[in-house]
Amino acid sequence: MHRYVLRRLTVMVPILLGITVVSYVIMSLTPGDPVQMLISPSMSAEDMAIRRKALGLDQPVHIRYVKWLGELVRGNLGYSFSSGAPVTRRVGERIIPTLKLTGTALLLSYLIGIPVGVVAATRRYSTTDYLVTVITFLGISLPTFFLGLAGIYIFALRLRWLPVGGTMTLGGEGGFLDGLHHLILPAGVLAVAGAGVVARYVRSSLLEVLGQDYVRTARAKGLAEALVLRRHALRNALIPVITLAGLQIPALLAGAVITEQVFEWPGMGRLTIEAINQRDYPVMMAITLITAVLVAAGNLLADIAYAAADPRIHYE
Amino acid sequence: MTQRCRWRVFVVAVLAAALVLPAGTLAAPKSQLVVVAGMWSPPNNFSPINTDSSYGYYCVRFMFQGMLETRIENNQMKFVPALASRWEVGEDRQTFRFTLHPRAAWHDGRPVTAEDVLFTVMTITDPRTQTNRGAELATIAGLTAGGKRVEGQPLGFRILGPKSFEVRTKAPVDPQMFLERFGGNVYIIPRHILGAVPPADLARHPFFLNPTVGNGPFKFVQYKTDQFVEFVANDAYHNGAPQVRRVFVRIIPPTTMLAQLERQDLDVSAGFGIGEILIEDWERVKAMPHVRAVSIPAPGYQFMSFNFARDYLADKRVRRAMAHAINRPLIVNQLYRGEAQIAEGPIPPSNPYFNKNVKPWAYDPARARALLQEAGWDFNRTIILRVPTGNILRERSADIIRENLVAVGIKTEIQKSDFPTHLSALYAKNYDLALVGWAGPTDPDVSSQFRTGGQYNFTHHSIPQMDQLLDEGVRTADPAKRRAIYDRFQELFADELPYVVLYYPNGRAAVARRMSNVLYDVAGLYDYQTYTWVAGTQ
Repeated sequence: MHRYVLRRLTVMVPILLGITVVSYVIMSLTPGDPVQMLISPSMSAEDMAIRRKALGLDQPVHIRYVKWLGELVRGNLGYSFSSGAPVTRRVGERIIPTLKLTGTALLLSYLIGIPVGVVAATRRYSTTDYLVTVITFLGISLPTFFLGLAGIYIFALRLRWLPVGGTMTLGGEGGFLDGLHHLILPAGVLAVAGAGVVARYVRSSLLEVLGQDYVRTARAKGLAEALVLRRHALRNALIPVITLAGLQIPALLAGAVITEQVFEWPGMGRLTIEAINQRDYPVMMAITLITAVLVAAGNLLADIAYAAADPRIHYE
Repeated sequence: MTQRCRWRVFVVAVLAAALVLPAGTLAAPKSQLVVVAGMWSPPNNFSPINTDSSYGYYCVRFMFQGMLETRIENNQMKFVPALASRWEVGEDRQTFRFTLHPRAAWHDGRPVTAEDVLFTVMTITDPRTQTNRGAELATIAGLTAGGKRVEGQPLGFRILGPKSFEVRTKAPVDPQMFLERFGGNVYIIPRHILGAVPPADLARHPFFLNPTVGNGPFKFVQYKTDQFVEFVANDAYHNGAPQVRRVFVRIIPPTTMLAQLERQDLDVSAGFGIGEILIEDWERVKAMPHVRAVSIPAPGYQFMSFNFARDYLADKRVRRAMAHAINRPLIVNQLYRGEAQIAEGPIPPSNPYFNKNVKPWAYDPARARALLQEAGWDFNRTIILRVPTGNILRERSADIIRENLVAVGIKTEIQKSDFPTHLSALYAKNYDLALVGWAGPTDPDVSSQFRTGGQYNFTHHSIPQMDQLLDEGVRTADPAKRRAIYDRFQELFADELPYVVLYYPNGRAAVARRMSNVLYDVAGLYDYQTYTWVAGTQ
């Protein structure tokens, strides 16, 4: 197992390097230039040329890439073109809120999705099952944008239970309760679609396992249905769901782009949009790299969890 | 009660507490004279000489000031003191003397001096500094056309005393133009804080992310990334301590601004282009009892640009045909619900230099068809209308424009892209028609957009007569003669039509009724005389 993990980690290095090369080239080929777009009657053509030179944009792509890589090796992600702040600071400020939001959403989607899926599977073709199916499909297919605005309308505007957006009360001290209060709505909205997917997966996976011989054997031995479900069926049924968790991490970050926008959440999703709109290359590269690492790590973790959950799986 | 039941009750109780308890503590402390302003996007940084966007400058102007502020009253330009208490224009219209307010001081107590002004000018004009203010200084003696210093050339700046200085321009200029550019758009930065920073490193200096020392009516407290900027009143402000004690500028997406207003969590929307009320929310905002809906003619306009590099668009009759083909009244009345004006030129009706005699080309599809036939238009040709995404109303207007053009026989396809891609197509002459918008200063000098080879001449046109008028306009120092030149320029513009100016949208803002003295001005776009704001309780 250790050797397997080590091997996977070693393979990751050239893959990540490849990703950076490809993204850097694509980014540079994208029409639009971070200086060109700063049109302002106050800015002279000379100002534009000075800025272009200061940002290194007067150099060819390959030289810019090598410089960027050189800095990266030394642990420096560069400076944001638009704010002048170190990229590590721009990203660092936003990564915690994003992890808070997506982590809570992921947790919620499993806390809701698993029991709902189990209920649907054990009561297959019952009214409950149909109801669950309809609700989960609604959850999956409703855009987060719509859900977000609906959530704001109901909970922030009509009921006034929750704030419209942000992570803390203006002029307040912040604190855990305040943070939680601001987190409920965005995390809840983000969790809806996730819970729907988890519930669908759990349902179909559990149904498959429930039809297996060993479950029948367990029942034949006279075990209580609840015990059969918990001890024998569920454990196996959850294996594909674990894989799902690994794969959902990048999807959650992508989903968070919209949620963060709607709820004034200062996260990576909004930074991504801003960076793309401003053609802030250093920030775009940092985000690409972080996402690539997250996807790779998510996959690896899913594989490891897979082996842990199922003793039959063995990595060499 | 069974074990399970108790557990459920506990969970419900905790959830209810989490939902309800903090809600009680949420009531904003409105009685403490706190004001919340809202804009759509976060500021990049707070550099008074280099922030990238109007969002940045919206925040900057709470903390930093220039010599004066520009206003438009009864179609006349007016100047209001900011850092300077007095200014005199020399008879030669080339020498400008400014006296700083005796009590003008930095937030750390040091006086704002003529040395600070000189330092600011030297920094902006240094060829190593990243700035977007260069064009504002370009008329000063000793500088290049782009506003940069040339070695060996003396700078037209003289310190007369600790609080007074004199600026000399290369040639006589219209005083209003100079006062707006140098006086209104150049904010002074502190020499005692930034004096030792090499100009090349200035753009990355942490001060511009945390500008604790400013010279304006409010002091910087904190910026909570992507959420809000907090300011506190500067009690030592020389034009009078602000009545409002604290200001938060919140970053609120356009879609939730309505909800914030309705909850009374928002007092002032930033207004034109950066914090406007969506047109679909406008009626609801107007109906809110606690809000004043403010609609002002804004200094910007939306236009359709022609690419003169395409020979089939170089014929004036074709461009005029398109001006006739587009149903501008429909766009203004239905899309903008009347919150816009139609006119034919790059100088808006709210501007003192607007030429009232130039009338927009009427909506007349029959005339358009006739003109096209006369010009020998190829009715089988398909042309591309490029539209940037982001401004929803502009995107919707594109559909109307396409339909209008198709109706007169011009096959048109819409191509949408994000703003940077859109702009790069414009610079690269890679388009037929394109929608864009401009918001400019009050001064009518539009050389950068309409002069041959101008930096923002997206149409890539070259009309010698237009060049001549624009050059004359900049050179002429007599305001009356200057007005006559720009009158002629506007007539020529309507005749040549490098753009079809579609409409001048109004700025739609919202102000809580508890606020008074909030002024949205045609010239300033936003209200910056924030020290006069008065906030009552709610």
